[in-house]
Amino acid sequence: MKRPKSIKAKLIWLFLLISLVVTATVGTLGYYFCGRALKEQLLNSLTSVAESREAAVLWLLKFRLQLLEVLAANEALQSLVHERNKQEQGEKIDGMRLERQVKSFFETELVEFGTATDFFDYLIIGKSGKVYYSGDKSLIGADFSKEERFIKGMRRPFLTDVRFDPQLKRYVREMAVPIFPHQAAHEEAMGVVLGVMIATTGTEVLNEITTNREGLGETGEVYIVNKDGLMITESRFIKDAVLKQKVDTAPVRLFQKDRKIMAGIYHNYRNVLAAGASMGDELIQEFPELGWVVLAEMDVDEFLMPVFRLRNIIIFCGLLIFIIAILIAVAVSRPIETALRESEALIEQQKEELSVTLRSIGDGVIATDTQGRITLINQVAQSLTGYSEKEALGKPLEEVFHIVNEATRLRCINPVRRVLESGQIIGLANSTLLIARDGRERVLDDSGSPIRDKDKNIIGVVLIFRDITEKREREDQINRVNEFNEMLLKTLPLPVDIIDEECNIIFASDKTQAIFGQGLKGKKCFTLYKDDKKQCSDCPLKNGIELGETKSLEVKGVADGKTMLITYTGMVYESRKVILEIFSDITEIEALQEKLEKNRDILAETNQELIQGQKAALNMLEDLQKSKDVLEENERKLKEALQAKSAFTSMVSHELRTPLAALKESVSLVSEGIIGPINEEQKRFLGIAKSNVDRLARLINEVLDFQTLESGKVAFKMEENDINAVIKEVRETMLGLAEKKNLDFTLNLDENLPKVRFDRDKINQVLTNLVGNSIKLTEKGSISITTSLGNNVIQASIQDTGPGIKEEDMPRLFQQYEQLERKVGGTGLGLAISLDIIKAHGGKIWAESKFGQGTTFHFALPIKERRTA
Amino acid sequence: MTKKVLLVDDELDLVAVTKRRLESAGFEVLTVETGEDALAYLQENIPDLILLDLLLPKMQGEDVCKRIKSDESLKRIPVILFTASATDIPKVAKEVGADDYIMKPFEPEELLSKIKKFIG
Repeated sequence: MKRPKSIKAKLIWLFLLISLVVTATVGTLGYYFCGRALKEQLLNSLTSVAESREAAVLWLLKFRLQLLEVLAANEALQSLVHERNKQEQGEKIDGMRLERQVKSFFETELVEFGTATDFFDYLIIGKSGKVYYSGDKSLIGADFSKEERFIKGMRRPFLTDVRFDPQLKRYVREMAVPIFPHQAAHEEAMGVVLGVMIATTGTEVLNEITTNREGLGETGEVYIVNKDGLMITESRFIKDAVLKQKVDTAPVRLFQKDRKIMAGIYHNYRNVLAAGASMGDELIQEFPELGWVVLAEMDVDEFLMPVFRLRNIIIFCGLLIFIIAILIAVAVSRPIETALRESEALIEQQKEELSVTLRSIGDGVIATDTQGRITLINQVAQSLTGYSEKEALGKPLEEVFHIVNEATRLRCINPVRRVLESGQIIGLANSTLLIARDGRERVLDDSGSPIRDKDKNIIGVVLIFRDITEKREREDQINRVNEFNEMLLKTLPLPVDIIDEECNIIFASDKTQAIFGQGLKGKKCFTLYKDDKKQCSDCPLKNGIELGETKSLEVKGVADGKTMLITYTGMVYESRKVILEIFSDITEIEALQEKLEKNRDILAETNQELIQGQKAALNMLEDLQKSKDVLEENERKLKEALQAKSAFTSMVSHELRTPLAALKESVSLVSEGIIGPINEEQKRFLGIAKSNVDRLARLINEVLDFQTLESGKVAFKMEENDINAVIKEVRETMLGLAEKKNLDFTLNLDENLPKVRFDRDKINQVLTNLVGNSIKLTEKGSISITTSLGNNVIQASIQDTGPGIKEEDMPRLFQQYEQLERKVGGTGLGLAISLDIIKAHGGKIWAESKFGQGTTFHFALPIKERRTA
Repeated sequence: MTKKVLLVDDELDLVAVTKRRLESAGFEVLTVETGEDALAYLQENIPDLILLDLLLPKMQGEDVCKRIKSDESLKRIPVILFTASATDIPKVAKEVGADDYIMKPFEPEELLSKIKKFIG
């Protein structure tokens, strides 16, 4: 699920990236070009503003100048100036008429002119420079001959710059025009100029022109700068700027230096970045003395507002496009993603199917690329080679798939190379061995085939192989069995043949051929043993025979009149249902049978006699039965008597022991001096009493022991014990007795004897008894005990150098209550008890002796415990 | 503290000598003749050890031992069978839960060492 998601994300990102790049490029280019065009347009509009204002100013100046020239051409004025000039030169003039003319001119013409224009004062100056008339009466009569405005005004119209008039307390400027004589105007030369008229006006109209800020927005303004670089019209932002505000900006400098106009962005007089256009070339052409330049400016922020707006619109559009692009990307990626997922799921499913198929194939599969590197290895191949998929992938084939020729054990040619070279499907030699990683070898059945793409180019190789080790072994086994069977059948010392369902003999053993002749194969079976050479009426093939069903049939007169018993059975031979026949020559048996028949009658007679004999025997049996009952009754009575005897003996023993105990203890108490002091003699006799009490007790014990053993009531504690240890114990306790009689007591033990199960106490008793006897009877010499390992027994031998036993006494040796010599005290039960104990262990006890030379008692215990009585 | 031994036997001669033997070895010996008396005595007293004959007039020593060993307050008292019986004594001792046994007639050393094994 991870991959589809990233595809979706990738799609979206790609879409966004493309849309971003496109939007950014279009936006940037659009902004660049449109912005430039817009800026140009805006600058053009500023330029045209400046141009229109310049035109207005120019028109104003020219128009006023024309009006002034018309005024200067006034006849009355000319007459006036002419008369006054004459008067100045000393000529006599009609003063009255002049006065009238002057009055009418000044009071009517000039007033009219002043109303029509914005001139508010006039100076009329004569040829000599003397002021003839002025609104400011103080100036009348003043000499202006040195004034520039007079000098220049005498030759052509002349305009002064704006200046501040401290008397009028306002900004003024003047226009001077020459006064030509009316009649001579066309006839006389320039030299006849009568004088100069200077008209004074304010700066209102100029300001009116520049403060018309239509289309200049919030920060736009138009102003005029004179040749001194001073502002001569009002500023929109600075109060009282006229003739005070220095304007040292790029367009002003350019104009003053090169008389060139410009439009562009620069820092204006307020040191604010502004867009502006300068204009003044026409003005300067007309009035070079002024050097005015008209500037139209606007703060760059406002100026560029449309550009910013354009930029914002572009950004907005870009964002809009971007969002749309996202939406489209999401919308488009979903179906694409779904399709991708579906196709991926399909691929996944196909992969899964392929892998399941590969896994389920019982054969090993390895695929490689054309370089022989493993690209696929299935489960079976992994287990056969011993490499896991992780280890095998990417490895060269020969490293994982190690195959050798079975016979030569030389490495086989890499099957991938063979496939690549031949371009065909190849099989491996039959005797190929795969050596697995762990060294296991398997016989392989293998084929390799090229993998081709749809253009039939080989893009890899696939090997399919299987372990045929077992199959091969099975085949070998079957072959062996078949060979054996074949051999068996052929050489069987029985006449055997196999016939198919059409009665054809398909096999006959040597013995069969010996009876019926050679070349039986292919003949019909019935031709062998039927005179009429026809199929038997009871032929099993007619009736059908089940597999494994065995029947027999007797045929007479076969092969020189023999009688044959044919035993046949249904079986499968070489994949066919056949019948196996075994022939038995029963000719002689037949004859015997006949003899038997004859003998039968004789037998019947004999039988009769036998039956009578049997009856007699039965009677005898009955008698025997009766005798047996009597015997059993006797046995039972005997057992009861024995038990009674045993119980009696027990009781007697017990009753004897109790007083004996009291007696022994009394004697002990006195002899030990516990009751009171006794003398040596008393002590000696009490000792005699005590030893006799002990003897009596021992005798009772022996009787009792024997009784117990005989009654079979004793439970033996059978445990694994070391016979040598018991012997050492016995020697320990008996050594004192032997030493008393100056007898050597030696042991000669086989320390390697196995442990044997026996009752330790009882064997101790046997040993003690035997050793005790030896010590009692031997007067000088030694006692020795020897142990050895016999045939599944361990044996202990107790030898002494005592008097020995007479040969005639030997048989009575182990009988109860027998004492060969009354020389020493005893019940005569010791050996009988020993015999019982050893017998109870499944062992044996016996004695060897030569009279006068000593006796050896032996007993043997079985190493493996036998169940005992 | 003198250890108390209860001797249960009806063979009065043997009781007398055995009592004397034990007293000379420093034990306090109390004697009763029957199993019933022994159990009655045990109702009130707790001896340190019991020497018990098996062949008693009425109640058999085996039963007395079983009664003692099944009584919560008495079962910790060591019981030594004290007998002249010919039967397989180790087996009987095991069956009735006795702690040890001594065959009559006995060696004085054997008697004392067996008793001292429990209440030395």
